[in-house]
Amino acid sequence: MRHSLRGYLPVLALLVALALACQPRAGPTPSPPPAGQKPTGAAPAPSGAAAQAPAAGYDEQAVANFYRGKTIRIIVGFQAGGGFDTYSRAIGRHIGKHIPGNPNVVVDNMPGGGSLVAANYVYNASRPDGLTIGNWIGGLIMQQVLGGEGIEFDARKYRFIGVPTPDNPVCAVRKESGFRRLSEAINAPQPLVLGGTAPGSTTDDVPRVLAAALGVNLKLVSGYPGTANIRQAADNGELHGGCWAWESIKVTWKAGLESGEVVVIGQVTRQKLPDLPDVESAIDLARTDEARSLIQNGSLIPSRITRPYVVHPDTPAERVEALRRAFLATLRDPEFLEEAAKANLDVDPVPGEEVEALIRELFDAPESIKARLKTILLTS
Amino acid sequence: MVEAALSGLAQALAWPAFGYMLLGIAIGFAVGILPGLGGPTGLALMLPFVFTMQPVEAFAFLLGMAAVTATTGDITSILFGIPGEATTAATVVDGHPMAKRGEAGRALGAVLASSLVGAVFGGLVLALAIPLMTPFVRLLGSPELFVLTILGLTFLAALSGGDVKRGLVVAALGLLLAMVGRDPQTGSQRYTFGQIYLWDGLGLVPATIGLYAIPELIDLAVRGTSIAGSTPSRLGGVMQGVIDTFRHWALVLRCSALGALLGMIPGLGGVVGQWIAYGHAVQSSPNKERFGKGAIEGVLGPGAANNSKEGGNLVPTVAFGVPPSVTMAVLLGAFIIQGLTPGPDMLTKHLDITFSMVWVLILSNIITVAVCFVLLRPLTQITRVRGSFVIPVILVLIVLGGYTASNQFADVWVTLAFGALGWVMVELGWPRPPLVLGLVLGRLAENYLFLSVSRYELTWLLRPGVLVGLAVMAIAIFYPLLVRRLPAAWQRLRWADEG
Repeated sequence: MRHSLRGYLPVLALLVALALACQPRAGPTPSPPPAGQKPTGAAPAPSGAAAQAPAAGYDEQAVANFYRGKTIRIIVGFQAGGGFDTYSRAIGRHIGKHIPGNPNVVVDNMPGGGSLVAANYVYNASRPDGLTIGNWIGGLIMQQVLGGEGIEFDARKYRFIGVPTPDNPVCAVRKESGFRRLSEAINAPQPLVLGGTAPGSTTDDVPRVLAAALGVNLKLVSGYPGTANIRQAADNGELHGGCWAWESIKVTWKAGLESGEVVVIGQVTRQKLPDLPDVESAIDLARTDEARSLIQNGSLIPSRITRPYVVHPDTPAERVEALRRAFLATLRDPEFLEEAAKANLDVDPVPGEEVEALIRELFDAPESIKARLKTILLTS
Repeated sequence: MVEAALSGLAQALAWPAFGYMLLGIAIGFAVGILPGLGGPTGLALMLPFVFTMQPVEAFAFLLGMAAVTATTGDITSILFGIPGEATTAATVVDGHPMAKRGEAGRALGAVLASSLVGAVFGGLVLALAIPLMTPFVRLLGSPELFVLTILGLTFLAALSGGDVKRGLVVAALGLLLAMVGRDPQTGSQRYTFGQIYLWDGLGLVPATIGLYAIPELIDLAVRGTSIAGSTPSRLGGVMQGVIDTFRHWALVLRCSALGALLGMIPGLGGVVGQWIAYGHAVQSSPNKERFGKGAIEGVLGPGAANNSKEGGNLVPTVAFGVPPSVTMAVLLGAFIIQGLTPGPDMLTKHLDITFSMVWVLILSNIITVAVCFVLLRPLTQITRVRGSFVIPVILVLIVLGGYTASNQFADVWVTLAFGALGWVMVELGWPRPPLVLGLVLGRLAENYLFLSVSRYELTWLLRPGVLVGLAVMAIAIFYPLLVRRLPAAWQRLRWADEG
């Protein structure tokens, strides 16, 4: 042998090092609870549509027999570390103990096409057995309504488990902009300059709807990599501000809001948010039925279903029912709530039944409104 | 500030971050020594492993690795005359003749000591630049960032390996490939051919892995030998080299400063600094004829510069998200994985993370240089492992690294396609760095240009920061022409006077 064995040691060391680096820090798979623990998922849900009588033929024992010893995969349509991923991993750590049979739960990331890859995958390639749960951005449903590209699913057929929290978009601007209320920007001589990330996102769609429905004079500068960059650009004086979820703004722009440098001028929500009683609501500023309809279909409904959890359309009804109950039970679980508070996650569940009703409302909107929304939201 | 600095040190020393740094150093050690398998490739291959880490751990791991490759790359450059890294090529010129003359130990001692000085210098530059960055960042809007990225493209000529025309063609190809995907402003699809995978553009990680790792692998397989063919010369006089470093302390510090400063400039941040430092070492020496035949200054200059550049590199990466080198372009991927936005947040909310990077740069180099002195002889063994043992390991890492980027099989095809492209480029002598930087800077440039025009229409061109940037660009483009033409013009004038 010409080569000494010593020479191979570094290669071996490299392999061992790799194996060590592969060890996940916090396993996404929660250890199953001790045998004999009574599943709490069957407790009757006290609020919302889920409080209604259980679906016909719901047999908890059959569901438990199916799920026992199996693994549920939650497929997140975005990269690890983002907002969708954070919610899914937190839910994934707790939902197993609320599902009859206590299955294991793992979270997988399938990023691509703004989560379209994941949405198409769960609809077309996952098995309809209730073991694959998809989590993708609800804006894709609007894309289907308006005839966007690349949609290979029918949102009306998908079965919805629920939404952990609605997004509540507000518009926040620097005080140098001179605007204190949204109504001041209606037909204003100088435009309100707002930043956006990409068409189809809240940051872009909310301003577009406000401009069309209320006649807000605004200039939308879109293409920032994220809302952090919009904030930075506003602080640099490049923009006045932007519109996205209050849940995010109140945390990330805290310093500005507290010092009065940043002002929330309007909220695009069904009811005024408890934190923002004096901020104008967009729907209150609408003067015509068409304007109200545009805000309702273009902003209010989509922001309520931004973070849906779904299963394949042909999933057996009793498993859908079991997952819906477990979803709501998880979002009320004190352990989950404690973790969510640490991670700054808001929790205000929208039950699956309500999500499906809202989606029907979007599809059943008058053709004239859909046509308007198409020009407002899909053209650049 | 001091609190953040101490917190950064505590976090860098805390377990498991420190363990990850040691792991990174161990991998960087091997990656630096192996010719071809360079720092950017090593980082790109290791990038998927940071998905499960905390930010400080991730940067301890990746930066520990990156910081070390230049140091150990110098070892290969000196012993074998093959640059261990693209960034250590200049060390070959005088280091290898020293080794052939039987002064390998002295050259290695000198390069390790000067590397340590350079690394500490670079770390201090990063630390000192931090307080200055905050007001500076406020001055940089989309137009200024656009000019900064274009400035990086201007300097691509310097990355073309001496063939500017080919460099520009390759950079243009990189820019073209950067256009693939849904355009970020209107959502229109460009070159996506109905593939949803392409909506998000070509992944930087699979592209980089393919472009760099696969051609090296093919070459290794075709040669059928170990990575390094020749055997090292005898060692000795290591301490002499350390003493040389301190005898020429002024040169070492000047070259460290050059490396750190050039490291901050996009496009110049990677492989250029070492050559300018080498040039400076030649210029500042009274007897220039010794260079190229084993002059110690020719080892000290690039040795210091290619280590101080890491600290300089990190300044624009952390402050603006503009990577000045390929290594930093890959590191930027780690920021995204960790959910960190380079920019003001890194100087306020995440200042401790930024400081932990300073400490990782300094600590990892101290550890590496210490280990190198102990292990100089066994170190050289790794390059003698038969190729047939190394190839399967690298191949697994390539496929795994490409696929893990977004868990889509298409990533593997992108890796292979870029591998084929990279191989063709290597075979035909086309430089690869401009392609990667074109790919990275192309997207940034397009985005910032659109934002600038969309916000300010054409008035963005009149902003002071933009004008300064454009002036620097004009100087960068026309300076070489002036340098070439002026002396001739001066000569003609003198002749005219005399005549």
